[in-house]
Amino acid sequence: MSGGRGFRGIQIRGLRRRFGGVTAVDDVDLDVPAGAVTALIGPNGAGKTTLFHCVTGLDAADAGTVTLAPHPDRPTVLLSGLPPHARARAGVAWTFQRIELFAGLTVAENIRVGAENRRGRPLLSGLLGLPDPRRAAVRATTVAVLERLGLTPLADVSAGSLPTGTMRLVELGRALAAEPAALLLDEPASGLDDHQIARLAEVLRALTADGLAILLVEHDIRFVTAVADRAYLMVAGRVLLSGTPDEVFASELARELYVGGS
Amino acid sequence: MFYAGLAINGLAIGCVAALAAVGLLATYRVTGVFNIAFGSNAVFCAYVMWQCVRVWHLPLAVAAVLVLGIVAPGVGLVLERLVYRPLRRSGASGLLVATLGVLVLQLGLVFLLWGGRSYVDAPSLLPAGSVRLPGSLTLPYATIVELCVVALIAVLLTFLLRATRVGLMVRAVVDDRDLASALVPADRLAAGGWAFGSFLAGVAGVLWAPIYHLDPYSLTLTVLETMGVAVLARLTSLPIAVVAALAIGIAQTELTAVHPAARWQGLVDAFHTNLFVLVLFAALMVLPRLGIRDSGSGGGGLHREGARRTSRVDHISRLPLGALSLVLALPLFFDPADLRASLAVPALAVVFVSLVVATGYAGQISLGQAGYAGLGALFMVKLAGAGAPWLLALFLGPLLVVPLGWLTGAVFLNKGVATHRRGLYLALATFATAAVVARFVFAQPVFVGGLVVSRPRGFTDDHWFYALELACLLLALLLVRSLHTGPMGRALVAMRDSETAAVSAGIDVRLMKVFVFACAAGLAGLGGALTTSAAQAFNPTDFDPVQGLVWFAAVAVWGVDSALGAVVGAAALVAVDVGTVSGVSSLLIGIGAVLLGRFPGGIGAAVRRAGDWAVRPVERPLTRRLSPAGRAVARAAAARVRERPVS
Repeated sequence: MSGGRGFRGIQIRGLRRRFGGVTAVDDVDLDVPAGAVTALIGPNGAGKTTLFHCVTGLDAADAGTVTLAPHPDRPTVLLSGLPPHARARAGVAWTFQRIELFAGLTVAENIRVGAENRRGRPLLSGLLGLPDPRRAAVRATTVAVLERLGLTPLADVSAGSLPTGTMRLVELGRALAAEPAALLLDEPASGLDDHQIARLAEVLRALTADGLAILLVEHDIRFVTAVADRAYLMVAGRVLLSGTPDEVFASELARELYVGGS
Repeated sequence: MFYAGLAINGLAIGCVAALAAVGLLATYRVTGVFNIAFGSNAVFCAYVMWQCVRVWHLPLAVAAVLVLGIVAPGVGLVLERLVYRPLRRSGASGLLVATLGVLVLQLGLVFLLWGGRSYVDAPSLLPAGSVRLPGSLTLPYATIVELCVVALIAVLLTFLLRATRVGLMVRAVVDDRDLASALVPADRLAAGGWAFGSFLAGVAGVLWAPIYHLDPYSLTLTVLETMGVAVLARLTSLPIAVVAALAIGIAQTELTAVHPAARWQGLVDAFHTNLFVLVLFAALMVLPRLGIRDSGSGGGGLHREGARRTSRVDHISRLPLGALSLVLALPLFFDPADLRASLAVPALAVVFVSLVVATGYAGQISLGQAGYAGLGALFMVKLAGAGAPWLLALFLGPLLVVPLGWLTGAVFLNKGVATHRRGLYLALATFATAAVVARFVFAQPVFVGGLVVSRPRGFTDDHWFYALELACLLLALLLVRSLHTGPMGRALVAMRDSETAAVSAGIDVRLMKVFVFACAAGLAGLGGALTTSAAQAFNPTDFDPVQGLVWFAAVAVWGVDSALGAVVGAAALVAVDVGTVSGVSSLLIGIGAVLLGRFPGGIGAAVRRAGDWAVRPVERPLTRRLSPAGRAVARAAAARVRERPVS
């Protein structure tokens, strides 16, 4: 769990979040290195989603730091304390456990929104209708993301009318369109069929090859085993085990939680 | 002893307010709807009572039984069946607009049936006379009876809801009608709740009318103002509401004894006559965590179904745009008398467009545009009076409103109110803003006394001025266009559909909302400045807070996200007002707003749907490509998305 010099990705140190008397996340250290898929597993109520929210900024941690080292020649960003949209602009992208799409926009527009808001633009220039200098780049990114996820045929379909699996892909596309350094996925495989899961795994592998740091919160053991390079087992707010997915799932504790515990 | 006497007078005022607040809260507790139309309902019942006794000469007791036993609950039952039940799934914004619609409709009815006249001879159910207290104080019987009624309602209802089986069932229905309907007769309970709420409104109206004049506006406003008491009680506690209302009433009369230096007297007077409005405003500023239950965010529920894809070239709106421009240009060839009436159209259209920006695009309900419009007008007049060239003042005045809109927006839009409670909160907050501005600025001679509004040379002729108005409207529409298309339009639609997702895409949602809200305030200011210039006089009644409610309902009817609809709506409103007796336009707007639940998105969306239907063959191949099973999945997904509250 050592970051050290030259580390790229997200580093979480001493993260803590309390709700009343319950400590949902208790002094967690976690590394999400670039070029790998890191999985966070654990039973319901273990604090996975709370941890996730503390990284995205949708929830405020009580203690601890979250930093992002996006690129070797770009400075490390202290994410803690930033509002969520600023974290998104700093290079963190995420999807939601409960799908959140822009139902009134088309698939292409959903992705485009992700691409064109990654940098702030003076609101006044938007109001006066001045042309966006990044327009061409935004367009290229949108087309590339649509292509990568196989969504091109659906580009002009209203996002609200899609089946669940495709919606998850669009959400992923919107996240990717921001060209993030780190990607956080909250149960991306839920609601997908086997074929779609295989496809998602393929996409995630390809993304790590591009140097993306991916954090996965997931229940599906097969999916985690297939895509993750490293897994952390979280129970009652604490990270109790880490290792390769096979090691973690083979452990006494995980077997008890996932097989015997039910 | 002097202060004790004042306190007893205050008690009388407090009782009236408590009656309104308890009625409002009780209705809210048993129906789950914050019934803005409570006041108009009370007014309507009071007018019927007047009709029974003074025109038909029925005995008082018979009239009371007829009004309180049949008419009042009957109105509640009819409204529940025809208006609120079909809307039970449409979320808070839909219900809010419906209650607004009922308010506008009932006021329209009162105007149509009774000519909106006020009467001083409303029959009184309360005994005359008073009790002598030690120290030559007198306590009117009326106050005692009112106190008893208020206490009785508060105690009984609290007991009923907390400790009985029926109360439990009512609470279940209020909490989740769909879920509860599996276990209890939800429809009947809801109908009962509305009948009871409407009965309370009837009681309030019949008791008030003899104390105040029987007047369409004053009672409606009294209720709107006592919403502050309900907010103080966090929309839950009836006893707190009673105590707060009495305390404010007493404080109001005690303040009359305060005599500061002469120059501050006006301000103190404004304070004590408007204490309820101030309490509403202040309560909303400091007490964000209301027990408001509602299930739609901001203005989301108003246009979810009609939400349009922004970047698509909109062939359908081209045609109406052309036709509309022609119609708007027509008055240029009118004779002076008709042209005079038409001057109001572009000015009102700009105000309506500002509502489309705030509510339709930013998704933030704003009932306070009247306040910003009036401020724009006032700033313009002051600037022109200070020697600024009039054309400059016309734009500079509204620009000065922008920071004020920004300030109020920053306070209210990003208050820590849970997303799903925002609609009602914003409605109350924006209304309170307009009310405070109206009472503390537009009603104060210090600010509006001796204003001279004159158009400069070149624009004294109505034709030229109308042309200028059209140019301003065009400018407003152009600004609005960039809020509707391109990156900004996409970002706004994204924000309306899902704020959390918009944030994840890097959109600074808080800033964006305040920015758009401030732009809307500026536009409203421009509309107000034009209105005042057209009339060549600053009329505070043009910017009455109740006017803001009517405007909002009118824009909702034409479709909150349709700028062209807003322009047509403004023209239609002025035309109906000029062409018919007073009350007809309110009635029409009210009916339209009440029916909105069945035609989401309003007339604009209906036109758009018709247009979509016409161009549908182009889109069909995509759906056809899916297998029947695939289509079923797509339909189910679409239904799911529609049902999900936009948060």
